[in-house]
Amino acid sequence: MPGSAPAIEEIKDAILKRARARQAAIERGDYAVPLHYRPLPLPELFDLLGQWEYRRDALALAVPPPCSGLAARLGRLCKSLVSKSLRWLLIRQVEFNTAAIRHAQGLAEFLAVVDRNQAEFLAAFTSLKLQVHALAGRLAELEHKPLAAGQSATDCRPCPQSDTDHLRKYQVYLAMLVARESQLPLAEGEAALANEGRKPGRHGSILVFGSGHGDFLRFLISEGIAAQGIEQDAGLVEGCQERELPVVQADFLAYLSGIDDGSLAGIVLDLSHSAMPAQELASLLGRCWTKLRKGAVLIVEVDNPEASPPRAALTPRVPVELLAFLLESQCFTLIDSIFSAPAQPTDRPIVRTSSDRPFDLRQYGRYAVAGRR
Amino acid sequence: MRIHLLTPSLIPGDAVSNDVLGMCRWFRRRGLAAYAYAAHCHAELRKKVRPLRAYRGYLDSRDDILLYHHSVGWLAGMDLYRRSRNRRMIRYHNVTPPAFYRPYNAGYVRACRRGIQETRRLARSNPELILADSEFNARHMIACGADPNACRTVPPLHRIGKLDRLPLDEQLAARLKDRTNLLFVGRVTPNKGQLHLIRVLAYYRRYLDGHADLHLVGGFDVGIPGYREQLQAEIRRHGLQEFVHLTGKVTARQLKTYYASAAIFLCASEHEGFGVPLVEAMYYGVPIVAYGGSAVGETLGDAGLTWETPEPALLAESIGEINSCPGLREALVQRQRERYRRHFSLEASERGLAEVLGARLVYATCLPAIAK
Repeated sequence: MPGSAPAIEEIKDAILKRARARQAAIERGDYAVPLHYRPLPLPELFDLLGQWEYRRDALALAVPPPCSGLAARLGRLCKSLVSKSLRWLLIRQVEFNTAAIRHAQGLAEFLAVVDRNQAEFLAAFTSLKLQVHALAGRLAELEHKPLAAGQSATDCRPCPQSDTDHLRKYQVYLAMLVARESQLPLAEGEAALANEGRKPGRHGSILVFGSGHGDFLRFLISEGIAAQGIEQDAGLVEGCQERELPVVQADFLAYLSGIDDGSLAGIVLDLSHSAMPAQELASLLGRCWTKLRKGAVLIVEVDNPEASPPRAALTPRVPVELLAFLLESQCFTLIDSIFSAPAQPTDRPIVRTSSDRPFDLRQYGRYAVAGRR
Repeated sequence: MRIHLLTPSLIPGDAVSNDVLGMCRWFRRRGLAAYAYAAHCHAELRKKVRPLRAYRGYLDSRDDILLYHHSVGWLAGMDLYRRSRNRRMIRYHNVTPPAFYRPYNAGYVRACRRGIQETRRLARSNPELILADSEFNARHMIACGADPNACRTVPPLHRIGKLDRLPLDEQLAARLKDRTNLLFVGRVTPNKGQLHLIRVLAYYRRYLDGHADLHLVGGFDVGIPGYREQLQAEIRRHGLQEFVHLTGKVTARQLKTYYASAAIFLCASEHEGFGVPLVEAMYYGVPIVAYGGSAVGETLGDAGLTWETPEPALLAESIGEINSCPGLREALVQRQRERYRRHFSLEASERGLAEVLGARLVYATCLPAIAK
């Protein structure tokens, strides 16, 4: 290598610094986050329609010119009859195919509705189970908690449940999403790992960073999903361990570095209590990418900075467009964005951008973005 | 003694096929009778290969050598391997993990799973020798239960030099002239990471104000139309319809023209057993920017700009750096040519084959007639 050219490692360091500086500029808003919309151009649409017209008349065009002589006329008549019969047959076939396709589409839509209803029923049933469990826990607490001086039993009223209900439905949806998208059949997972020369890791299949009080982690485990919680707050970790939840106290990045590449089936990142700037978040997401299996899902939850009124003074702000951009910039393919914690009790508890129903995201206090590796 | 090379299919331009035919030629140049067998063969190669059923007559011969090329699940091939009494050797090209095909084709997923199961069976069948394309592949085989002492690494044989005799496609060259052409050569399949390359181009054009075209050269797989649609949706999403070109399969002349006109070879493959197009890029002096996962990092070594993730920002900044710094371009090209000469030239690969196979072969003084 010529003496005047710097070493490859120095060049790579310079490129890395420049890339991070540009990411910071994007976070500051120096570059607009791109939105592209390209409707089908009218000339292209008319061309497609013209081709259909041409094909429809193709058989009619296949008629030879008139010629004299009885034999020639008879031959021409026979050919004409055959081509007309074929045309009639083809048109009937096309009509039948169209009807069959419409029928199949209708059936597919019906099955989709049934499937959605089934999923909703399952989610509601699971939510009911959680509510029963939580009420039983509260009842046990109240039975053991001594009354304060001057307080009577009738003063102990339960807290308003609406926020908790919404949070549970949201957690149920996230758990279903991560289980559906990330779960691989055991044989395939082991075979895939064996092909890469590694044994299945000692860590759980789903990691929950920022597990907090462990409600979501407990829900995942109750649904039979192997999960591991990581939390930085020692008090929260102790509380979870008392409830026999698998939670360890560790820094997110340090914990990830101890895991084999491509071994995790899913990661849930709750960043609502950690003030992480976009650059650090980007590097955390990049690390998550390397640790996830192909096809596994990453879900990132944050408080919505656009919510009105804001839930807390958020520093730094991570709007949904920026988080989606950061996920894509770290090679994830976006699946969905899910909003929850509505400001008004009459609003829908969970809304998804993939559902194509319009909603005002400022009315929701919390959101999660799901991406697939 | 005869050498029997088994492979599921032979297709012109395919890396595994070139390796099979290259080995055949190498054995014959040393006076050995070598025959290639395939279940499916392209019309152009029919004269160079025998049908699979022709091998059955040699199953019981203990003096012959069976060189089984494994790259995909193949029931008929495994049956012949199991029944063969020849001295068995395996040429391992790696099997694509099934997770890549899961969203697109359940049949492919099953085929890949079968391929992985067969890999384990082959590894534990105590072959005399396992020839891996790369250390990455060799580690796979050892992890599947192969004897480490039986594993050797020899890069695949190729036909890169054959393109030298072909003239450039002038029409194509005129279209590519005066443009910054980013090139990737490889089949349009999910493990090749074309999706990442489209995002790299989008990042490069939007945030670095770069003007470049991306040429994705490689045949489409009719079994996974969903992946091609996903690529086209991604292209539309970023508004890159005029700047990303999905060429499909191209002729040898066109391939040479693409390499000659390319400014940078981009690679974001998430799974490669070796990466023959990387070696082609090294030969043609096209600087390489790549995601160094699987065997790509090992093939490139320190001769290209490799990164630990296919993050669009890093690959795009690398493109910008190479385009703006001619000294870096020259340095990379020189390193790549040196690496090609030392490790991946045809002579180097044949030398590796000779070192590994030399003691195991009995050289015949003359080549017997090849019976049809």
